[in-house]
Amino acid sequence: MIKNKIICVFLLTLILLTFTGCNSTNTGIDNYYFVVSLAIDKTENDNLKVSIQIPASSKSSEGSGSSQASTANIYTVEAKTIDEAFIILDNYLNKKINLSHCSALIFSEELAKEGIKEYIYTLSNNTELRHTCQLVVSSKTAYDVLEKISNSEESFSSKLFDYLTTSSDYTGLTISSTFGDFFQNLHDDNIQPTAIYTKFFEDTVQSSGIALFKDEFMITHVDSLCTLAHSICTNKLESATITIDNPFDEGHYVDLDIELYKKTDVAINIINGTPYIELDVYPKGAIRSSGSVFNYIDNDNITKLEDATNKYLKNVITDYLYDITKEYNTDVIGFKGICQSKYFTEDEFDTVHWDDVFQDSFFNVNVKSEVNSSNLFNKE
Amino acid sequence: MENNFKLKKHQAIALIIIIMINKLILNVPFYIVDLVGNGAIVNIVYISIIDLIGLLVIIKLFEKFDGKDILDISEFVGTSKLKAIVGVLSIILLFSVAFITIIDFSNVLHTIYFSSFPLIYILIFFITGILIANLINFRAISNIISLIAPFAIISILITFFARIGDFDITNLTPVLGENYHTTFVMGLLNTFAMYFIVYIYFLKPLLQNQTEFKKISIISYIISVIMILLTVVPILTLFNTADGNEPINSLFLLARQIEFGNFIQRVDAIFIMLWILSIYAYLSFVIFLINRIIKKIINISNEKMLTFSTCSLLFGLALIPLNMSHIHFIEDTIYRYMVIGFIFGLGIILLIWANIKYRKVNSDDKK
Repeated sequence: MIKNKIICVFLLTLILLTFTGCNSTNTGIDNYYFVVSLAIDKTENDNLKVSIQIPASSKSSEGSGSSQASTANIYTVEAKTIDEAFIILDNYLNKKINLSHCSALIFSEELAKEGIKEYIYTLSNNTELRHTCQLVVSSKTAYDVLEKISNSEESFSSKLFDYLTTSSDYTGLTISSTFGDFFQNLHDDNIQPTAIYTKFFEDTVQSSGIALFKDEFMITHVDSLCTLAHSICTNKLESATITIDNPFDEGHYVDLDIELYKKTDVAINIINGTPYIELDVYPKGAIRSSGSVFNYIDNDNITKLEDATNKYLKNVITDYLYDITKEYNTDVIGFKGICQSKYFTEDEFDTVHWDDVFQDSFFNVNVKSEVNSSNLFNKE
Repeated sequence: MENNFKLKKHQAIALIIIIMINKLILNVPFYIVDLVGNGAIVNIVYISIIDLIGLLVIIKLFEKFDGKDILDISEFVGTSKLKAIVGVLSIILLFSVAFITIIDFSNVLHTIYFSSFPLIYILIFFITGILIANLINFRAISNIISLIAPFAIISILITFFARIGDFDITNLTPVLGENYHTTFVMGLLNTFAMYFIVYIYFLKPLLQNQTEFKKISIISYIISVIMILLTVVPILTLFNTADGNEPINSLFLLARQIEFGNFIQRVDAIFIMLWILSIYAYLSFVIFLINRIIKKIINISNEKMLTFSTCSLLFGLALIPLNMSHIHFIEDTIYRYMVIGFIFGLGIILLIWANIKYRKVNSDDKK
């Protein structure tokens, strides 16, 4: 018995020797540079231009007192692959690059149009990069986004990219497109990937609609109104404000806060070999401002306003749907998966030849809005 | 006294749950999906029915053999030679299971967390733990298993429910997958998923109360089916692995994406710790079982000191330089046939044979 105990103590001591984490000088936090955002461009000689943004934390205590506020440094290298760029940066900075705090991954539009699967796969193998990292396509170079973010009036913060995208929750004019979602959609035959599209306005960079992809290639970008339609069709709409013509006062407008009170229903039937897609949309609206003439305590007036809302949203959604089918031919909503669910086997579904007929789809959008007068005054 | 320790009902169920969880940790959900694609859910229901029938047959055939395992039964059927053959086959199966488990999980840990350290460190870490557990006694292994099993179940439940809102249900369709042949004929190979049935053949002598054998088996079976569904559904709905992309470890990939707001992120570290413990506990039990089988074949009084030999052998095997493609080939192809062959081939044939002989012996006695 005692002999066994001695053996066990000896073996436990042996286990301790395998805890080598603290033994190494390379694993301390001081030995890392924590990247906040990563930008990837293509150079003229077909190499990659990889830029990383690292907060200069030494100035963090100045001014605001916020631990997150600081200036940022941008380092750029040219390399053949992403990993080669990291190695060069590791060597140049004398510290190891760590992506565990990377909040944005930015590609230039030029590179996105050439295909980004290779880079997404490379980064998906990096265990440090979080799936919540935002994926952004820049209208100019990706490096410019880092520079504009650094130069913006706001104190630099690792959350700056979050601000760029969290507005999707209350404006509906942009989406939250993460690296994880993109990677997932890249593998998914049923839906095509999307990403946040950013444009430059003087000294700032702003999200401006979404970049639509087909497989790994960016096809085009659509504006903010199409983004709203996209969010409604994919049931991702949190809240948005729309401005419609005031049905009671020509030349004036009504602002409505809308959200979905029920998920958008999509029904797909194959008629004469062509997909006929019906969407039932259920927005709930609250009047924000309505000009000088309003009386929304009256039920008839509410009905008129609901009709105007229905008409407006129907047009926006229908235009977007015909754009993605007829013009861009990319199924970013995931209609294929919905149609597929009506069949028992893939072999049966293959007889539809979805990829060939998707472009010929025709739509019927029914909007059934409910409008409430929810402001301080119902009548004036 | 230590060697005669018998499992209570909850300990036996915990043991079988740990066996199943280890299979789930080591990519079995992916192999299920890989074979039948989107038809995985229907296929799981289908193979569950087949496995249940198989399990009920095994339980029924075991009825007349209280306190006996498949080795005792083979001795009853034939001679000690047959017992030795069945014993050696069992050892080969269990050793290959232990070998694959340790090498696969060590490689996963090495790739994800300890890429800059030699793999041998991780192997020593596991082997030493297994050695200590087996040098103490079976009671210690069982108690550890009973302690870890509930947490391991919770980790799988959290993995499922944390991302339930992101599930894309359309990825579960077409419900019958590629075609009927793939789901119902090729899909039969997924019966290996109920791997715990292998251990049912060795469970009876370890039980305190023989009458609870059926109850333990059925409860374990139900929990196992639920756990398989809980791991397959997220893999299919979130990653659409039916498309052919193969994760190094599907459950880790899921755990990695769990976040509770901005406050709790990267919970995979906690889960990995739990899974390391469950691999420890499971491998300790496998080595215990191998020692027990060797003891029965060669008739030695104390199997404890065998642990040094078996652990050394396991360590030596784990040092064979295999890359992930070799490991996954063994897991996905060789191992699949071995398990099915043992459960539905060797095991059931021996049991039927034993039952016929039992009847014959009984009727001869009556005459």
